[in-house]
Amino acid sequence: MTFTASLSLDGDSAAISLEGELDASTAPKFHEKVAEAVENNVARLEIYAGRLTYISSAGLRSLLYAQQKMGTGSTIALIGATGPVASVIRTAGLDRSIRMSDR
Amino acid sequence: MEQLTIPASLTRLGQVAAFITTLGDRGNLTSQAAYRLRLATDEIVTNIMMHTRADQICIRGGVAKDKVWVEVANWGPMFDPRVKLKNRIPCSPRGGEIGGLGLFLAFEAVDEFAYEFVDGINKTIFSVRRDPPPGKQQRR
Repeated sequence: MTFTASLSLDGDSAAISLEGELDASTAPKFHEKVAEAVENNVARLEIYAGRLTYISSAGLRSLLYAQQKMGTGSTIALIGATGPVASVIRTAGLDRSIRMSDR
Repeated sequence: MEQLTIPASLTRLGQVAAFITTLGDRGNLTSQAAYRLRLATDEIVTNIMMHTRADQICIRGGVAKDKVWVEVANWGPMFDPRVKLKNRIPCSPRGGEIGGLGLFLAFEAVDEFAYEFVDGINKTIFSVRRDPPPGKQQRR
């Protein structure tokens, strides 16, 4: 199963780009990048999901982890999620607490 | 009917995905329905791998006139996934309870969902319609 997660840091902001299929076997790679961003005490985390073709609850748990660790003064944005990936996020109710945008 | 038997290891999820994708293709599922069937299977199988003592999982699937169905069987302790769904609500903001999220997604993804425990075997059976009504498609 193909999945990549890459992290870039810029001041108090971080961006994670996701590509491929995010399930329980690949989620540790995403979780690792989220943890790295959190350790850098960033105030804003942007997650680019336009090239994400599949997500399960394992991927959603990493988003919840980021949300819990970053605290109330921070911002998490999920960018570019479309189709079934966006539907899964909405079905879980995460769109109520994580801002989703097209770009 | 097709069948796949695998060790209960997360490293086998790719094999499960390939099996379900082939099944969906045979049933001419729309891409959305195929995704839903994969998600449900993935969540049920992952739950068994991570939270039960089962060492092997048997997945069977087939195409019927109006639906594509999947049965996930394991020989672990009796566990009815529907119990986890009672009073289940989607993730609440800021630290909501996340236990059972995968089973919730599985249940929401499919059109039929059943469980039975027979002769020491847990069987979770679910299906997606081959031509779901517009209301169902719009909801997802």
